[in-house]
This record gives sequence, structure tokens and C-alpha cells, in this order.
Amino acid sequence: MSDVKVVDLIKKFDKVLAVNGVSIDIKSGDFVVLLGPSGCGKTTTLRCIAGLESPDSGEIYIEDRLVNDLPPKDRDVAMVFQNYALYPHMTAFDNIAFPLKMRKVPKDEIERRVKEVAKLLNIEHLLSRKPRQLSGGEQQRVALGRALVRKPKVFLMDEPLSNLDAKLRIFMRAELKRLQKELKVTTVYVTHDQAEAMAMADKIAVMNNGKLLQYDEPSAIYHRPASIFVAAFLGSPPMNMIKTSMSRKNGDLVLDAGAFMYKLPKEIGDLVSNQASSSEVYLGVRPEDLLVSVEKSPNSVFSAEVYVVEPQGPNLVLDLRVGDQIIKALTPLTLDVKLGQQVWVGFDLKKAHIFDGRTEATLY
Amino acid sequence: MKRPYLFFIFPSFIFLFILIAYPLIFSLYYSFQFWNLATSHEPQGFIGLTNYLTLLNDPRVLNAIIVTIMLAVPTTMIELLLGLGIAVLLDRDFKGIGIFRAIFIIPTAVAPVIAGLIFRFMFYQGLGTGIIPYILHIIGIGTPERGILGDQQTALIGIAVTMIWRWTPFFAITLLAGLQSVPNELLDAAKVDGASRYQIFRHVKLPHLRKLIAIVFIICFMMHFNAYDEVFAETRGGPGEATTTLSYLLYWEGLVYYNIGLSAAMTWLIAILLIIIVNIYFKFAFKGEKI
Ligand SMILES: Nc1ncnc2c1ncn2[C@@H]1O[C@H](COP(=O)(O)OP(=O)(O)O)[C@@H](O)[C@H]1O
Ligand SMILES: [Mg+2]
Repeated sequence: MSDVKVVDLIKKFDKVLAVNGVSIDIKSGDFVVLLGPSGCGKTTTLRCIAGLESPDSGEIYIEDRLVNDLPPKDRDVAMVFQNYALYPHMTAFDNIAFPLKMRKVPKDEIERRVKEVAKLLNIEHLLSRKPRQLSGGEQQRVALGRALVRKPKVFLMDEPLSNLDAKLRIFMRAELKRLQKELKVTTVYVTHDQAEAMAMADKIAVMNNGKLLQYDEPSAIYHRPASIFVAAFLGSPPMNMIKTSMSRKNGDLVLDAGAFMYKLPKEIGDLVSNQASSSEVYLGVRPEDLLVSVEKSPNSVFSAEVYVVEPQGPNLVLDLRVGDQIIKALTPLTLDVKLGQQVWVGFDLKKAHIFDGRTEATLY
Repeated sequence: MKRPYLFFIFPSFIFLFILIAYPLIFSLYYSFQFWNLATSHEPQGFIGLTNYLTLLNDPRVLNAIIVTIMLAVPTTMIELLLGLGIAVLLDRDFKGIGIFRAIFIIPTAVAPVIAGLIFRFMFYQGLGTGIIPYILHIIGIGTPERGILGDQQTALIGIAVTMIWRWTPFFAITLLAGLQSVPNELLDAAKVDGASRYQIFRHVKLPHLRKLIAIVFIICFMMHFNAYDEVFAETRGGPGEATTTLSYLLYWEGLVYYNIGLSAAMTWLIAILLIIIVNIYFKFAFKGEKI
């Protein structure tokens, strides 16, 4: 099976640097998600792989073959577009059959393969309908069918679920992942939804402003983010960033958040102070890693005032005021707190992060 | 009021009625009257279907129907094919397309009588031969002794050429706009799906144009069906009756012979003929789809 390799990809539109030096190496059979905010260059990267845009510089390899000068039709990739891009005058059958017809596959084989794919996607009963007679979810399946029918080297998917309602989206993302694992086709999948990325990816490539920030497995991205941006982009609610300034006290490195001081153990303190480019650093803790208690406990670090209480399924999301900053904490529903109440907050340094205030890079 | 919106559309309804229905109804009324304007300034009596029967038994009418169809159908088809060809050639990104379009539309913007006169000179044969026979002779194609417009066999072709010159750019520009309105995403999908340039045209762009083509075709067909100016300017319906279209015959009956009753009936005959043709066409072109 095939690999996709992108090396130093640069793509400009007039003066906009849409993709700025992205390199990704995709193992065969992997499900890789390009994740980032809108306008960060995900679609452009995908279109360069498909051959729909030609890079200004950089190389794209599919199965170790340089494909820069190959038109899309010769790259043997299949793409699912955000708005499905079904041919409106063709039935679902003809839409799915289209790539095979273009390749002059014999009629009876087309028939057989379309039926096979339709069965896989559960759309056998829709084959004679035109796209406008199908619901969003059904259109999405037909678009998927058109990509699957060919058994391409690579699947490229550009936010294929973003037009579906929330329930169907969550259902389809599981379906898609199952399909991909079954077919073992290398897949590059674009989304701006971090939960979708976490749920589906073997590897996530986080992008911002045309740059690739981190490329790793979901858990690594989540637990060891490379920068403030990556840390804050994943997780819901996102990681708390508490602004502090470093100072030395009796040889120990202390983070001063204004409302509280936090002393770092020696090794970590040295690590941070050696790398930091300024005295300003951010202490990053995920909401679920904050331990909130009504009474002060041995691991309490600071006290905070309850500002907003927001029940969310089995959890409470608390907005807490610490000095002039608001942080979010995720606690069990059983915690009994009122607005305005003082609570104690602690965290395990092993689950916390420290970021450089200037370069935004991870220090710890 | 049960349907308050009726109140609001009432004024425009009256206006439309006066504009469209009034002339129709009165011409229908006159078509059942004997009325020659040369002898009377008002209708001279109800004569039932006599005007219609006279027309249906008149060999000139049958001839005019044949001439009209022989002119309108091939002309519109050639315009469509040429226009589509030009549109496909122009369907790529290049600078100056706006200027090109502006220049290109000039023939269509020229008044048909003027176009007819220009072509009459270009077809002229004799002292100071026109450009068209001149070129035809150079490339070894002979022209009739009395000129293209002077010969029974070729006069209609001459008129058709004039109309094709005028209307092909219109087709080209309209179809080019249609080609460029194909959603980019569909083109991208087709490229990834492995379609060649020709396959993209054949399977994505052309189906996208289908309704536009069907509409533009029938509009131009109706326009050509009523062709009059070019005939007037180039041949006056001749030689013989070789280029006497229905509209030209109508003009002759109404404004030369002043047979108002007869020409009213002829107007209705033409309208009925067109309605039948257009309806068959729509059934055929749209196969019962909603437009
Ligand atoms: N065809 C184009 N012409 C001009 N600018 C473009 C074009 N396509 C994308 N861009 C710009 O490139 C940047 C990246 O776009 P895109 O790859 O679509 O982002 P994403 O898919 O991550 O939302 C954006 O600033 C966008 O405006
Ligand atoms: Mg996008």
C-alpha cells in the first residue's frame, strides 16, 4: 500500500501565503487528519496533493513517485468535497459509476462494483435518484461511494461531515473510520473540528497560518502539545493559560501569577529557566486536570471565586476567577458550589505545561 | 379578504392585460371580419372563417410556411453549433475577455435592416463585385449568374448567412457565460475522477448547458421564424417567391394590399403554428421536467 509524502510545500495566491513550508510523511494505510482553524491552508494542502493546485515549490510523492507534474486524473487519488460536488444531472448510480466510466471499465463490472459499494454504504435503494432528491446525509454517502468505487491509492476528504447535523456527523465519523480501517486506504482528512480529529485520526497534523505546527498521534498532540496554539486548539473547553512571571526565590524558580505563587521543583525549574526567552511564561492546565475542592487540601495551589456554573452532561464546567484571570475547570456534578463561593484549586504538575510567553513554544 | 395578495397584483394584472391581451383580442376579432383598409376605414362585416379558409387554400401561404421553416430551422441549428464551438474555444482564463465580448456582440447589436443592406452589397455581383462572390471565385466556387441573392436556389442561403452572422456571436456569448457558470467544484471532482478535457465537456459542462441551450435555441428560432428585415433589405421576397417568409407575406397583405382582416387571420395562423411547434419542442427538449 501507498505512502504520501509532502516536502516543503509552498503555495501562494497572489500575496497570500496559503501553505508555507509544510512537510508531512504519511504511512500507508494511515488516517491522517489536517486540523486547524479556517483559512490555515488545509484545503490548499489537500488540493495540492490531489493535483488541483500546483505548488509554488516543494515536492509531493505518492507511492514514492514524484507527482508534481501529474494531472489529477493520473494520480489515482479520490476526493470527497465539502459540498459533495455530485453531478446534478446524474443519478446516484451514475455519480458513483462516473470514475469507472471515465476509465472505460466494462459495463458489467461497473454495475457489479457500484452495487457492491452501494451495499457497503447502505444506499442500494437510492441508486436511481438524482442528487436533489437526496438528503444531506444520503448525498454524502453517494459522494463517498464515488470515491470508494475506484479503490484509489489515496482518499482525500475535505470536511466531508461539516454539512451534516450533529447527530449524523457523530454517527458518520464512526462509520467512516470503520470503512477506512476495513479498506486500509491511506486517507488525508481535513477538518477544523478538534473532536472529530481526535476521534478519527491515526495521526493529526495541526496547522495554523499555512504552517505545520505539530504532526503526531492524537494522544501525543493532546498530552504533549508543541506550542500554546496546539495546546489551546485541542480539547473542549480548551486548556487554561495562566499568565505568570518567573523569578528566583532562595534558589527556587517561582511562577508568579499575581493571585498566587507556584514553586517549581529544581529539575523542572532549571529546564524552564534554561530554555525560556523571557521571564514571562504561561502555565497551562487542562480543565479536567484542575482539582476543585471546597475545603483546602494538601494539593491545593490557589483559591478562586466561582464565577459561572454550567452543567454539561455528567460534568460541571466552572468558570473561576483567579485574580484578574478567568479559568475553566471540569468537575463532577456532585461538587456542590454556589456562585461567588471561594473554592480551592490544585493540579498535578505532571499534567501541566509551561509555555514561553514570547515564542509560545512548550518549555515543559 | 381571503386572498389579500390578489388586491396587490390587480394593478399589474390590468396593465399586463391592456399590454398583451387587448391587441390579441382585437386582432382575433378582425380576423373574422372582411376589412380592406383601401376601401373602408372600418371593418366591413363578419365573414366567419372565410379569411382562414382563404389562407389555407392559398398556395403562397404554404410556400411561405416551407420557406420560413427552411430558413429558421437550419439557421438556428448552425448558429447553435458555431456559437457552441466558439464558446468552447473561448472558455479559458485569458485577459481581455471583457473587451473581446464587447466587440463580439456588435453583429447582434446591428439593426437587422442594416445587416441586410451590408450583406446585399457584399453579395452583389456585377459592376463592382461584392467581397463574397469575389472570394468564392478565388477559391474556385462558382456563383449563379444573377448573383447569390438573385437565384432561386441560393437566395435563401444568402439571407441565412446574414442571420447567422448576426446571431452566432449571441449564441457564443450566452453559451460562454453558461460554460463559465459551471461550479468549480464539479470540474474539480471530474478531474479527480479521471475525466479528460473532452470528457469533462461532454459529461459535466454540456449537461449543465442543456437547459440554457434549449431556451436560447427556441427564442432564436422564434425570432428567425418571424424573419422580415433581412428579407426586405436583401431580396424583397424574391426571386419569385423563393424568400417570401410568412412575415414578409404578412407585411405584403397588410401594408401593401391593406387586407387587414386577412392579415389579422394570418397573424393568428402564424401564432398558432408557432405555439404548436414550441409546445412540441418543449415536450421533446425537457421531457416533462420542470424548467
Ligand atoms: N483560489 C484562491 N485564491 C486566492 N486565495 C485563496 C484561494 N484559495 C485559498 N485562498 C486563501 O488561502 C488561505 C488558505 O485557504 P484554505 O486552504 O482554503 O484554508 P482552510 O481550508 O484551512 O480553511 C486563505 O487565506 C484563503 O483565503
Ligand atoms: Mg477548507
